[in-house]
Amino acid sequence: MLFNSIDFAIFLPIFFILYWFVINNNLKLQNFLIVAASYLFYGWWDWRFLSLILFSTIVDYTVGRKLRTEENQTKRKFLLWTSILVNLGFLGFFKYYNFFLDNFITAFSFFGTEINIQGLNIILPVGISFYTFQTLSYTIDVYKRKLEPSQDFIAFTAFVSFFPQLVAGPIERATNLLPQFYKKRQFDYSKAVDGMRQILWGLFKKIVIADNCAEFANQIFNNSIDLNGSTLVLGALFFTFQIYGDFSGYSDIAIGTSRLFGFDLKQNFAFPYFSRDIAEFWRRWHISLSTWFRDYLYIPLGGSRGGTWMKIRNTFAIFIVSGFWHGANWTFIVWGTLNAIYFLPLLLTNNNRNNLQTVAQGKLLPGLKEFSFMLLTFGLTVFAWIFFRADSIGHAISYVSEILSPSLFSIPKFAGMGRALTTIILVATFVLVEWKGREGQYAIAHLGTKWTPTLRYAMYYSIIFLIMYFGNFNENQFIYFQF
Amino acid sequence: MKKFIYKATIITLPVLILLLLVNYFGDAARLFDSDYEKQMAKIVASNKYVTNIENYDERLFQKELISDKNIQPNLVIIGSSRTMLINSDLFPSALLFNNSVSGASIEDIVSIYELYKFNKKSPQKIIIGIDPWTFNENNGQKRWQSISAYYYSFQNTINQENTTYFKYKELFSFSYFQSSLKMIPCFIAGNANPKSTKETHNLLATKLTDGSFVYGEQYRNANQIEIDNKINSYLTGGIYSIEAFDNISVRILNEFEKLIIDMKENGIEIEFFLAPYAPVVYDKIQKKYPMVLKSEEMINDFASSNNIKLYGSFNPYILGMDKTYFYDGMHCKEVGIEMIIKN
Repeated sequence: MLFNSIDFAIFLPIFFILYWFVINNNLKLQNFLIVAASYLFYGWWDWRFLSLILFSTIVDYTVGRKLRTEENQTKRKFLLWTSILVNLGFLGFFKYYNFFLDNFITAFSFFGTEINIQGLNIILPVGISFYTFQTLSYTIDVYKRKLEPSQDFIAFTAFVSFFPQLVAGPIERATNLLPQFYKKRQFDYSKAVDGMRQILWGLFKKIVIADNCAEFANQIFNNSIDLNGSTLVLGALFFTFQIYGDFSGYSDIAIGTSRLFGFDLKQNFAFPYFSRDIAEFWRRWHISLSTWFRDYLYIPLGGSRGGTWMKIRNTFAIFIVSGFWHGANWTFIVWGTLNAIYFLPLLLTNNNRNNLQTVAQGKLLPGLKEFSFMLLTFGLTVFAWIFFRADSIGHAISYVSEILSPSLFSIPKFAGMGRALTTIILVATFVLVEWKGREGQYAIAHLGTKWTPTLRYAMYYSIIFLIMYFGNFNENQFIYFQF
Repeated sequence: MKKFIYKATIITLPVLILLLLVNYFGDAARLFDSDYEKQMAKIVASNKYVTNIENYDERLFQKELISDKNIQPNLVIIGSSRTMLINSDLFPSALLFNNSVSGASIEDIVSIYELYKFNKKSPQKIIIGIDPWTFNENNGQKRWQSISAYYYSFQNTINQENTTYFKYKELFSFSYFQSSLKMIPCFIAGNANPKSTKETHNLLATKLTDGSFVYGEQYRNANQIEIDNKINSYLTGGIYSIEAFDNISVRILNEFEKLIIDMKENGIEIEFFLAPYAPVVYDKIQKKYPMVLKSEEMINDFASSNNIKLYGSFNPYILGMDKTYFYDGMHCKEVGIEMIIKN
């Protein structure tokens, strides 16, 4: 089920009524309802893959309980690796099997040996990368004794399958989300209103910004061979806002929906395009994944504590794995490598924690220096997105080559340029609103809270009307569903 | 909790009401104005041209026309917008009627043929306009559902589709809202009805008494630069209905063969018509869409093995046509159609 579908618009109020009015006094029943609704939400797409989630849930729950009583370190390690292998085994098979097979065949044919193995026609289960990482965090935290293992199977199942963030995150830590399933939830008016506002803003980001940008980004990337350099720059910019609107929009809807039911999820995007360096960008982009890699990969590898070579190795490891997490394609690996290359000078010169505060905090505009750094970081990010979006490395290289040709200085020209102008105006307005609200959890978190109700309602209606009038209602999937 | 529900209702209710009102009264595709197609058909059947026509249900219009007692052709054209310009001047000895509908799929062709059979006025000859997407299972065409009863009747199956459900679902559709909102000024000004005319060429599109189509003034009189822009736009936007053309559908092929057999059994002479693409579009088709070329080969083989006359080709080069023969990437001008039929 998609957040931007009529199905979800019907599903959500029904769930709300059952949750708060019918079984609000019984925590166990509420958790059971969450599980049922989450399985329905996921099964709407393909019920067959529910078995994967259930299997993963049973394995991690069982491993968690055994880890609680087991004192023998070897056996504890064995239990941990069982969970890791099961979860990563599913992920590896569904997501990477064909990729490794293709590369294996290519490598052998390079040395003159032809191998005839057919790839499998594998459907990638939606959200597998997200819930796999979420459950892994549980097992690792229990293994490290940072978290008490769950004794409540229904609560644990609800934690793994919680529908708002099941298919595209945020990847919640068990330490934050799981305890919320043990406590009775009280309806909180201000929390629910805040949730609704965040959902509204998320829908605007997805339906107006991301899906309109997607139309032009797809058009330009799919026909890049026939287009001039300046048009390709425009295409890369459209994709830059598409991916941000799409993914952060999803996160906003997920966080907002959770708040309606009394749950607090962690912020996943903190206005990353206003970052002043790449290190800051990675503290603000897909925070739940970046911190996951930091805590479960980077730090165990030694983090930035070792010598220069150790730092270089760990930085490349985390960025390349992060790139590979996004998909089984060399383009994602190059994207990760590019970000590692951007990040490394900051790390080696100890400048990676220079910009911990929000840019121009408390001010209307940034200083010239800050603005220049923001622009530079944004430019580097846009460049890396070209590799992320391209169909292949060859496509990305030809795309970049055309940008670097004299045609960069010609006027952008592609079919639908007139319509694209409307989208550009919408994106510019969106950037201004995001800038204004950059110190909040999401752009309109504080917008209008001190206005009169009439003005505030006018703002809500304006956003709704913008969505209705300018939105792209083809029920486009969220990009991150494929990851 | 009560306060929250009250406020959520205050916000959502007006939005819902606005959505329903605009979709119902703006009604971009005339889903809720069942008289519109009847009015159009009445004008055409009374031997007048009809203009000021936009966003109507072309399938329902055909249904109304075919059921009218004044429409009794002996030569029928069934195809897509690419055959809509074939008119009676090209077949002076016949009583021609053009029943083409935009984006015609196999289901449309079958349904329109079945409509003639149902009204007991099967013609002597039918020219079927075949498009590259005709044999593409993934062509995305759904518009035939408004006359699906005739499709299922031909297949001797029960209608599985609940078209009323789809119609009323549109009342809650935001994309339908966007189109319907643009029609609201016409609704308010009471200027939304079809008009009869004696002129064949008008400001807006016109349907002639033989069912053929004449483009509106802006489209008809576009200069070559504007046409080139349309062709480029068509190219970069993805080629209509053949983007996911992976193989020739066995189901469609079987239905097509069944249709041809039925027509022959009813003593109907059959001819095929293939409309060309603009040259640059065909260049792209040659590179990127091999199934289109395979389709044409298959149609050629089918026509020759069944002794069916075939006009035209998807390939403009073999017809000797350059870009000046086209209104856009996929619609050939009247002069080109005449050239195909006369040669």
